[in-house]
Amino acid sequence: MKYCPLAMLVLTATLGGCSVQVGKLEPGRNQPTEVSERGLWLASRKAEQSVAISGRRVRNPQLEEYVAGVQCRVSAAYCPEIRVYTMKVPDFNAAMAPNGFEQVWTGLLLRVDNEAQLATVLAHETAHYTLRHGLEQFQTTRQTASLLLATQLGLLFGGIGVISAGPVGFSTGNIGQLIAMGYLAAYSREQEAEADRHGFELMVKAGYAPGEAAKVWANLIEEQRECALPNPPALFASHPPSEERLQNLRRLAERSSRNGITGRSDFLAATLPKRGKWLRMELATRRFCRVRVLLERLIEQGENLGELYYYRGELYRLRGGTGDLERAAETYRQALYYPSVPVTTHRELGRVLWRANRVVEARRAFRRYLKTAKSPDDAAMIEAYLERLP
Amino acid sequence: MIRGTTLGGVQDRHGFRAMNGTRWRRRYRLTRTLAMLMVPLGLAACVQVQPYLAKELPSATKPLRVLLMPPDVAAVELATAGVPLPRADWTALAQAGLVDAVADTLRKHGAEMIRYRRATGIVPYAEKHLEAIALHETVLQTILTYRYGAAQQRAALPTKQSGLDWTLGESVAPIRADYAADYALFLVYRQATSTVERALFAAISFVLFGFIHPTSQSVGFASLIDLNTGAVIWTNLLQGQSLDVNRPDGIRNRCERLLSGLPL
Repeated sequence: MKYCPLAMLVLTATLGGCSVQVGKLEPGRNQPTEVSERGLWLASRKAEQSVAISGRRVRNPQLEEYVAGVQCRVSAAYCPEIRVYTMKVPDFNAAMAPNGFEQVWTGLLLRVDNEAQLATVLAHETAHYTLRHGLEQFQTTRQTASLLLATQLGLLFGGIGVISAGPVGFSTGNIGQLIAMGYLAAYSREQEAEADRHGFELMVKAGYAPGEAAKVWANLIEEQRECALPNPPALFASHPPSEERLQNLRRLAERSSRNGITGRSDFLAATLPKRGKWLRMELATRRFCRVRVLLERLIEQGENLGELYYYRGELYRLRGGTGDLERAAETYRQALYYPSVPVTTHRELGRVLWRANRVVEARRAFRRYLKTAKSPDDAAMIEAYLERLP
Repeated sequence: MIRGTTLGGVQDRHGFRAMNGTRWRRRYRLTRTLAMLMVPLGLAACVQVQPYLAKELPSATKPLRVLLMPPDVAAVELATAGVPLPRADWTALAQAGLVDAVADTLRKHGAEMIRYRRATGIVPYAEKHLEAIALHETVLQTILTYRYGAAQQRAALPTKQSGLDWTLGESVAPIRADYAADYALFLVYRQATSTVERALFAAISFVLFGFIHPTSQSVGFASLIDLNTGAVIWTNLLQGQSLDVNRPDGIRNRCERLLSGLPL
């Protein structure tokens, strides 16, 4: 009996101190055999089915092919096992399910500067897949959650005090949904660090510029810092992009002797045609600070300036703070200097000028809209505006 | 199996033999313990169904053709703290059991069961059927909320008070065209069971503190769709706790209950 407390201590230390270790996945393995991994794959498959038919999925063969191509380049031998879906969601996120089904959000495509940065994220996710972090985390959660209850029960038996265990969550709901929501994406700090390291190796091996890896996090940190974001982007809900991770990637890049490409022109060719739509979705979230920081960075890079100034004008118009109408009008006018300007700029310019009571200019803007848009769908409405304008 | 283990173990250790004072007290305690254990186990055997029928079907002159859509099944096992582990093996078992039971039930009703031809990709449905499938899922959610939900929610839609009044409309036309079936039967089934540790924990915590931890649960939803009009003809919701969910006869029993009142 006297060894009992000691035995308990050893037991607790063994169970609580170590997380579950699972081996690396070999390429080309089709189906898992172990019970919990099979279960996770089944649930992931259900999640994948709902994502595959989701209205949010980007149905653009050119873009889908491009993203899948970059994924293949970094995942090499694992390429046939990974299926990537681009989703129209205005936030920075990529997620990998245990069965190799991967999601990339359009908010991420807006926030990386080039193909090498996109490859960094995809390689990071590939690392989560090949190192089976999902399974590892699931098994650890299962054990630790059980241990927690067992400990509480132990305390209760010991008469130290009544700790209410409460009704423990009982869910027969769709586990796939939990996976889709990133339930399993909450990796541990060690797993994130491991995926950073391994992902870096993969992207460098694929021929991308090592220096680009750290820039992904630098951009995100800037956005977070500038806007004092209360919630970090979903991917980093548990482990935000810290200075530490940024510095680690910088160090890795300094030590790396290899050179590589940034792949900016291919990236732009694939993403620029869709960028306006994605920016519109970002604006719909009304998180204006984030969109402003994003637009500033994109404007600095200088592609399709007409479109970018237009969306910056839209930001001011929608924000509607003090002096925002004037700012919007000024920014729309700036946009009109560039060939890539959307034709609706004239219309929006007319609207803000009207609201600012500059009727003569508003009238002129609406007329220009009718002329340049060449009988748009809303022509009748604009004609009505022109009649009502004093 | 869990039931046998728990009760059997207690009984073996406390066999009723001599009846001196200490034994009496022990026997009283044992009876109380057993009685308390019976409560969650009693709950465990209870399964309820709530069928709704939009309208009686006209009597058919020839056997009805009923298309069984791929059942949406998930089986999980709960660890002590309730973390669910999806079980591929039990899911497959439940899926196969459901299909068999549906075939038998339909045969009893004199209807002909047609199996949906699963597509080979990630999504088991043909592209042109997806609209109906997705619409059905949304309608199902709506029915669960406004037909089976709390009283407040049932009263929330003033125009939907007269009964089951939902339709998938023309979206079902491609399915009707491909299978020449009269009706489509959709099944959703979820079940959860507990590890032995969790069952023991549930029993202990109930005896000591009166907390009830559900150890096993099954939830099923069935709907019959008229493929000519798209109308939702009949729905049934099954909810309950039972310990035999992973036995073939358990699945069969659940399925028969789920299809009870099928208006064919």
